[in-house]
This record gives sequence, C-alpha cells and structure tokens, in this order.
Amino acid sequence: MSQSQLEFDDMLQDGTSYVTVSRLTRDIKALLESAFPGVCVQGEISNFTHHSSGHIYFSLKDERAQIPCVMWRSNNQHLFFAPTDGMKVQARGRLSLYEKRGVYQLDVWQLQHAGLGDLQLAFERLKKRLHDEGLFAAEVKHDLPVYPERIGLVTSASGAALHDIVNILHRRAPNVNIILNPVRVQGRGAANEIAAAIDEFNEFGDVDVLIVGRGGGSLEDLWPFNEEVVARAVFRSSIPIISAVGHEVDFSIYDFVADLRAPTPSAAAELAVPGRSELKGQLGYLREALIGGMQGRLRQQIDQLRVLRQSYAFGRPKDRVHQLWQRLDELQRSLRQSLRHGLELDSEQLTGLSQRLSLLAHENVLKRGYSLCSTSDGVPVMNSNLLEVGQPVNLRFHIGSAVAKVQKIHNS
Amino acid sequence: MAKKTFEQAMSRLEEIVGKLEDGSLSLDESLKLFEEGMELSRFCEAKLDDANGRVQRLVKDGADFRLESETE
Repeated sequence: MSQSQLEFDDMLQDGTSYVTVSRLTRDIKALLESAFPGVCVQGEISNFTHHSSGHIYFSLKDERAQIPCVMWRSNNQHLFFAPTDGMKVQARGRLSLYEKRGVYQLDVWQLQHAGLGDLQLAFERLKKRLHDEGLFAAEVKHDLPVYPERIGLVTSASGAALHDIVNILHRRAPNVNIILNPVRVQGRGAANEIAAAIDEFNEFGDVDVLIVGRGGGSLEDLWPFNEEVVARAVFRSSIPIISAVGHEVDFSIYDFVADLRAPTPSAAAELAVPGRSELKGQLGYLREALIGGMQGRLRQQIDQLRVLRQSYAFGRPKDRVHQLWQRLDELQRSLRQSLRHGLELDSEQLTGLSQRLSLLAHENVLKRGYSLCSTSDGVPVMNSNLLEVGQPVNLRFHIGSAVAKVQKIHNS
Repeated sequence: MAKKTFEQAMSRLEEIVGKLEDGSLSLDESLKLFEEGMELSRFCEAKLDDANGRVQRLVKDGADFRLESETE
C-alpha cells in the first residue's frame, strides 16, 4: 500500500498529510494479520515464562532475529512436554499486532519439537544427568514388602489400568486394602500431579507399597513419566514404588528410578502381592514343620530320659513317678505310632504328652529324694565300675548340690 | 503391643520353626514356642481367609488426610 492509498486524517499547514498513531497502527495490523493468517515458524525458544494464569510467553529466535510469542492456556494445556529455553521447536499460529504496546506477536496454537530426534535427545540428556546423580543406583532402591496389606495406587480414576490392577489384587489377595490417589496421566501438568500424589502418600504414610502408572499409549501420552519432577518424587519416596507404565518394551525415565519395574499395570499387581494359594501352601508347610519340630523335641526328651533312667535306683515300685518311668516306653511307642500313621498330634495332645514327660524330668524326680550323680565334667554316672576311690563327684538334689568324694565302690 | 502385621507373624513363625528344629531348647521353652507358633499360624490363617479388602480414595483435607469409599 503506498502513501497515496492511506487514508489521511488531516493536513498540516504546509500541505503534508499525516495519520494518527492509532490509524497507522490499525492499518499495519490489518496488513500484517491478513498476510499471515496461519504460519509455521521454526526457531529456538528463549525467555520462556509460565504465567500463573496458565498462559505461556516466550520468544522464538534464530541467529539474526526474534519474534515474541504467546500461547494461551486453552492452547497450551494439551502440550505433553514442558518447553524450555534452548529447545528447537516448530510453532503454528497467526501473527497479531497489539496496538496498545505496538508490538507484533505470534499467537501460537500448536507447538512441537522440531524433530523426534530432539525429543530423543532431551530424553537421553535427562537420563544421563539423573543417572550420574545416582537416582538409578541399585543401592538406593527399597525392598518391597513381601506381604503388603495396604497398597496405594497413583493412576487415572477412569482408566483401564485401575480396573485391571484392582481385579488382579482382589483375586490374588482379597484381604488387601487398596487406596487410590487419582491423577491425570497424560498432558500438560500430569507430571506435576503424579509427583504430588506420590508425595501425598508419603505424607499420609499408611500404605506398604505404591503402584504408579497407566495403560499403554503413544509417546506423547506416556511423556509425563519421562519428566524430571516424577523421577525426583519417586526417588524421594520412602514407600517402595512399583512402576506400571504399559509400554511393555520401552523404558521411561521413571522405570529406572522405581524400586521395581513392571511392564504393565497388570504385571505390577501380580508382582505386588503373593498369590493366596501360594501363601496358604507356605503357611501349611510352616504348621507341619512346627508340629514336626515339637514332636522331634519330645522324642529327643524321651531318648534322654531313657538314658538317665538307668542312673536312678528302683526303690519304690508304688511311686507314681516310678510307674511313669516304666511307662516311658509306652509313651515313646504312642508317639511313634501317631507319626507312623501320618497323624498329626494336635496341640492338646502334644501339651498332654509333654506334661507327662515333664513329670519325668529331673526336677520332679529329684523332689522324691533321688539325687543325680555326675562326674566333675557333668557326665551322669551310670556305672560304678567307671569310678575311682577318691574321685570327686557332683550330687544334685532337688534343692542344692554337693561335691562328694567316692569312699568305697560296690560293683554289681 | 503394636498391631501385628501378617508379615511380622509369618516372619516370627519361621523363626520359631527354626528354633524348634534346632532342638537345643528346654522342653518348657519348646512348648512355649510351640504354643506361640500355633497361635501365629491361626492368626495368619484368619488373615488369609479374610476377603474384605476395600478400595478407597485418598482425600487431602487441608493438612489432614481422610479415606473415602471408592465406588467403581
């Protein structure tokens, strides 16, 4: 448009026409906006700011020029990555001029990385940095509880992942309490929500393990799990975390920091709890070992008493203890019989048996006036032939003991 | 005594079995451990038979948390 095509507001005294600032600006605006109603610009981000209103402001620049940009909240809330200074991007939008400030701006409605290569590069750079800081190290990982009773979930309230996890947990461990802290799992801000949810569980405290994740999706969908804020929250967590991002083959940065990585949410649920039938089997085995152990101990006691029986004199046949001694073999037989028939002694039977046995134990025999004679090494004396005159022997009574010296030996 | 968890109970039960099988305890001690073991095994059995696990939602209320029931 040439000078002659502009509308003039007035004429100066010398004949020059002029236009007002508003008029000129308005014409430039019309020119600019009609010439660039939609444009795709590639450049590097600088001066990036994220306003509290949700709008983002930045400049796109190259070596020689720069264009100020704005991306309104309604346009940027679907961004799956966080733009940063230095990032090479392609911005789609329209040019507009802001009359009040006399600047033109690119009104961006779509922003993407200049190439997938850039995305990959950003990923690799972050991965290396976190690795060097030690976030992935095996030593810092927590052990998972073997039998969790309260499991926290950080996932979408409406996704298939939640459904799958709950079903599997209910099947494997129907006594487990599941606590959900729902979050968005894709899009702008999802990473912050995920990190906050993990922190909240740690503040709450009353869960044994966390499962954090989502079902499958595109690279963009899964991107929050590559964000630094999620990795740091996982690293901070003192509650163990099982990652459950459904990308089967690939790893996100979050997978490296988690205490255990599962390829899918369903797999995470399987890994989180042992199956109930597995546990019942384990418990059954322990019960059998417990009873077997007790039976073994009783058998051991009987054997010991049989050996000692020989060192007591048989003086009083009507004595109850004496009668029990006689029946020692019977007791042993009944124990062996029950084992042979594969019957478990229940705890009542075992208690009864061991009570009878304890009557035969040292203390109770000693109460009846018998004493236990042993050498100075503590070996019970059963055969007088093994003694020597003058040898000191220990005598143990019900109360107290004495050291005696052998005076005379009567061999039988 | 702090609330006994399933994990603690199983762990103690394993410990008791080990001690009993070792055979070095007195008869009285053995019986005491055996009774404790049977009690633990009953406790664990009951926990495994419990099928009342719930799904709840964590809700932050200022500085506190509460749990709400979650209907799927």
